[in-house]
Amino acid sequence: MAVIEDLPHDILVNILQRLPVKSALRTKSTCKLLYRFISDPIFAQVHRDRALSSRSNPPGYLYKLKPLESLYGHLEGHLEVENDTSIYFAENGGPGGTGQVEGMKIPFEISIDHNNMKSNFTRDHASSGGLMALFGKDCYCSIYNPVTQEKVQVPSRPPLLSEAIGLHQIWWGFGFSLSNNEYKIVQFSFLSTQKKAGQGAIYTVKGYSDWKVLENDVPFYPQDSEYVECNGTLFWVNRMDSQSPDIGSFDIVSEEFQEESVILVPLHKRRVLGVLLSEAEGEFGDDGAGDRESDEKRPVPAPFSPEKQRPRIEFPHFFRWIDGEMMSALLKNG
Amino acid sequence: MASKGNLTLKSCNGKEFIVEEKVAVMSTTIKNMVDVDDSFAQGVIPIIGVDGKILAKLIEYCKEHAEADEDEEVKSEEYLKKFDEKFVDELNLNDLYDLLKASNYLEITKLLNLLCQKVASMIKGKKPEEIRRIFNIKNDFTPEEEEEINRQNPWAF
Repeated sequence: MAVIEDLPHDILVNILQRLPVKSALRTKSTCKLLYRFISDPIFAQVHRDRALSSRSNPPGYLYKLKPLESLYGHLEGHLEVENDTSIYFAENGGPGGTGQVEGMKIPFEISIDHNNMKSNFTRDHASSGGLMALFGKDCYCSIYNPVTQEKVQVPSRPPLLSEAIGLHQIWWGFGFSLSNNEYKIVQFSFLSTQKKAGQGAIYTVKGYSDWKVLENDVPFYPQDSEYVECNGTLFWVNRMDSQSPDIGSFDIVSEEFQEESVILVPLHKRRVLGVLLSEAEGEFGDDGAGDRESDEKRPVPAPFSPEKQRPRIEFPHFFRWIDGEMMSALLKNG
Repeated sequence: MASKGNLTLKSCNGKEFIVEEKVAVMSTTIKNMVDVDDSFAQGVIPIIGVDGKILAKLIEYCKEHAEADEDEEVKSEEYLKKFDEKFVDELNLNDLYDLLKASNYLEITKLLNLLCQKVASMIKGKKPEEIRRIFNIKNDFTPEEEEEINRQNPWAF
């Protein structure tokens, strides 16, 4: 009788690396041999590289569901919605693919504290290249691999200039660059009196690396913690009163911050910015805002394009950028 | 004795197949044999560890693909896709495993990838016990170990 254990190991690996993450995890619990294969860190790497280069089966991404209410979380009485820690896993959202979204629970608590004063972070997780970065109190972060279930603590970062003074907010991002196969975490902060010339630090997720404080100033001041990633570059929408162009970016490979006017951003990246801006608009925009008490205190976003028309995207629950294509998903049984 | 341009392949249970060289050299292993030693092209090439039934299947696959490589109009991409689908769908598990091993040994990369994708698609979306049943996998975990592993990935189940 045919037995799977009889197959040469390179055939087994060839088969297993074609599986979506969820199927790989299920296969892991079928027998010891397959458990060993799928638990191997090299397998995770091969699986990820394959997924990243595959047009038909790109890697999964992890999201936290953003309930509509949480968009108005700054209103009293809605804060508890933000404590929803359901994580959703979307896989196979490539071109022509239908983004399949499945609920998952990660096997540990994310320390979510949305009070800026305590946590310094307004956003607590990000996902890139199949890995997930978690950000907790006091700027501690960890990296989580959903395939192997490994969670690695990132060493603590040397304090930035602004942190010596006290009140500050930290911006952060997590990105992956396929060209040099590196994951990096970037964090930056500003002196509270300044809206420019922030200081940044970067951590490369690799062996025994350590944080590196970046020499060049951060030339832009983002409006909020949301950013989007496209081809190894992270983008933020800048605050209007920061007197910098609309968009701030960080290149994962060159480790350079840049301020960019939307007009100058290459066309293929503009759709990303459309998503970013629509999210910003959801929080700060003018639609249905009349009944929000804090509306007047919020800055109105800068005009998006010369035509003064920002792309408007209806976003029922979330939109994100996956492998070069925008993916939308309605969570039905969420 | 095969005529010029043809090769004779012999399965491990003694069945001989006369095939066109362009079909046989879809296998990198056979191609290397023929390239290195001319006598293979004249005589009989033994295909070790592959029986007649599986060898016939391999030849059926290679024939279609070699002809498609030669003339795209007669055998279009769409035609090949349909052929591939039908080819893998008709296999039982024993043949699937035997073909996997044979295409690996004979280095017929296209077929190997097709078969691996087939197995992966059989696993996709299945629960662990279903995966075990389909592939004759013996569960060698103790109940405690199994519970522990399932606890590690609660979201996958």
